[in-house]
Amino acid sequence: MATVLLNLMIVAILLSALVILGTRWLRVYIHAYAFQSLTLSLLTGLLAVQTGHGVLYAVAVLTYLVRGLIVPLILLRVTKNPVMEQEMNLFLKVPSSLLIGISLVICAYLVSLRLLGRQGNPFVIGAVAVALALVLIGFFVLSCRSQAVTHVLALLIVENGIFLGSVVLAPGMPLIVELVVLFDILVTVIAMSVMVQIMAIRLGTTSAAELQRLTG
Amino acid sequence: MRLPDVVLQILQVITVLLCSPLISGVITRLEEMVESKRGPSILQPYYDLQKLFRKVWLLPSAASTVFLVAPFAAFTAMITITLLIPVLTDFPLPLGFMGDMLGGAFLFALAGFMVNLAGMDTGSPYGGHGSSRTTFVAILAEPTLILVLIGVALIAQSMLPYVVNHTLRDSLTAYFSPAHLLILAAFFLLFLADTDRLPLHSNTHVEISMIEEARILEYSGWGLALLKWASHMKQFLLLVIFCNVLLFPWGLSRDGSVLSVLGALVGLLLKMGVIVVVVTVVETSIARLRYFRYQEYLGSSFILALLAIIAHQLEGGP
Repeated sequence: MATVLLNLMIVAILLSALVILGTRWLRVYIHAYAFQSLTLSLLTGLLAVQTGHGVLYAVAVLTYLVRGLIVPLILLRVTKNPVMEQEMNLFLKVPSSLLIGISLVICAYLVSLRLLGRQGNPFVIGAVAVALALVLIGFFVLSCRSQAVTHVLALLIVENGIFLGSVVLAPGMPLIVELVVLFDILVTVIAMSVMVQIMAIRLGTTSAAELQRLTG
Repeated sequence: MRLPDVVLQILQVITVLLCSPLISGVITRLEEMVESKRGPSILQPYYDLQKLFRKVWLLPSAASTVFLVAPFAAFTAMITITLLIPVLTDFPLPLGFMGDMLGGAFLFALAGFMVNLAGMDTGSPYGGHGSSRTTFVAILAEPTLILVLIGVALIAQSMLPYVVNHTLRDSLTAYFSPAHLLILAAFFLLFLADTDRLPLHSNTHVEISMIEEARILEYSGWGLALLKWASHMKQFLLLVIFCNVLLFPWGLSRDGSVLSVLGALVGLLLKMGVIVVVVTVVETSIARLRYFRYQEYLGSSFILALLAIIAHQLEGGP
């Protein structure tokens, strides 16, 4: 039963990363990210029960608090701005970005299969594939979308992917590492949201495509 | 007492024939109620069919044989599909092995193709318009359908609907596997697209926004009745596949006795009631997509189906 739950969770994590490629609404992205973080923390909790690493319980709770609650709330507050509440204009349209996203997933799966070998634990292969896929999708979103908030979310998805990989491959990681990472995320998100606000006030847009010159 | 297989097979067809307009009626009624109108009686589709069957079928002067054949082709295709899928019993009936799910998909496509031709046959602009739009939707929807079938085949190691039903019924692991849940989602999106519902098609009856219905504007009398009945049946059959094979594989008659068949029928209608409520919620809460954004909707159902196959691989499937 636990395997079924774990499998469901990694697929839910993958699906919520694809949401960012499939819609044009910032608000939906943020909710999908919150959902992804929630699933990630549940997965960590379940792994804690399974492997018996006490530290993972703390990691699960911290993950939920920072990634699932504080960061989405900050982002939701930042996007409460008429500039960002409208539908986005994408230069790579939804179907093609979804198709590229899914090919990245397949690529990640093949790489993970090659890395861990066919004889490995199927759950670990799957989880590492999803982790790699999150990293790739995050980088893809970074390069093909122009909205500043989307960039923040893409970075966060990359980070979620790395976190998923670390939880599955190295569950006994010291808590201090996780604390440092979470603190980093908070600082990044706050800095980026300040920048987004300034962009919205100064330029009337939050799209990086409008930025032409590198002057202060 | 076990009913003979032949009787069960006939009962299956009769169920589909008689119950299919009811589901359409219930959906219309519920939607009108949500929009705080009274709405037509749930038996309205039956009254419509009865009225149309009593009228003369007038043929346009430009009509050819295709126009004449299409209603029969559509109607018989639906009846043939009925023979292939588990409607009441969960043990295969004699004609159940005529074709697998891919065969069913071919028959759906055949019916659609014939009506498409008929829409273009008389040269009326709306008919051609409807055929072109239906084909556009079909081109985008068909790859998803094939992937859904492949996904099902991977889970159950077979494409026969009865085998799929048994696999999902017997194994909770298979039922709750991510692959199966994603297939359910993809199939539901496909169902909305295939039965001409929102977000692709709004239920306002204006020719400009019609998709499938625009093809049959030239029909009248009992020819039209056959086509309407066939489209009710198409919706009902898709629901049967969705309910009995994929979503609720339980509650079918196991021994073929009169009582259990009756129970299966009631169960089937209840299962469909659940889907009908969901469909109503979807249809009354979202807006129609712009024509050139259909691909976003159908693209996401394609991605869901593809993800189902990937998820099956992630789980360590063969």
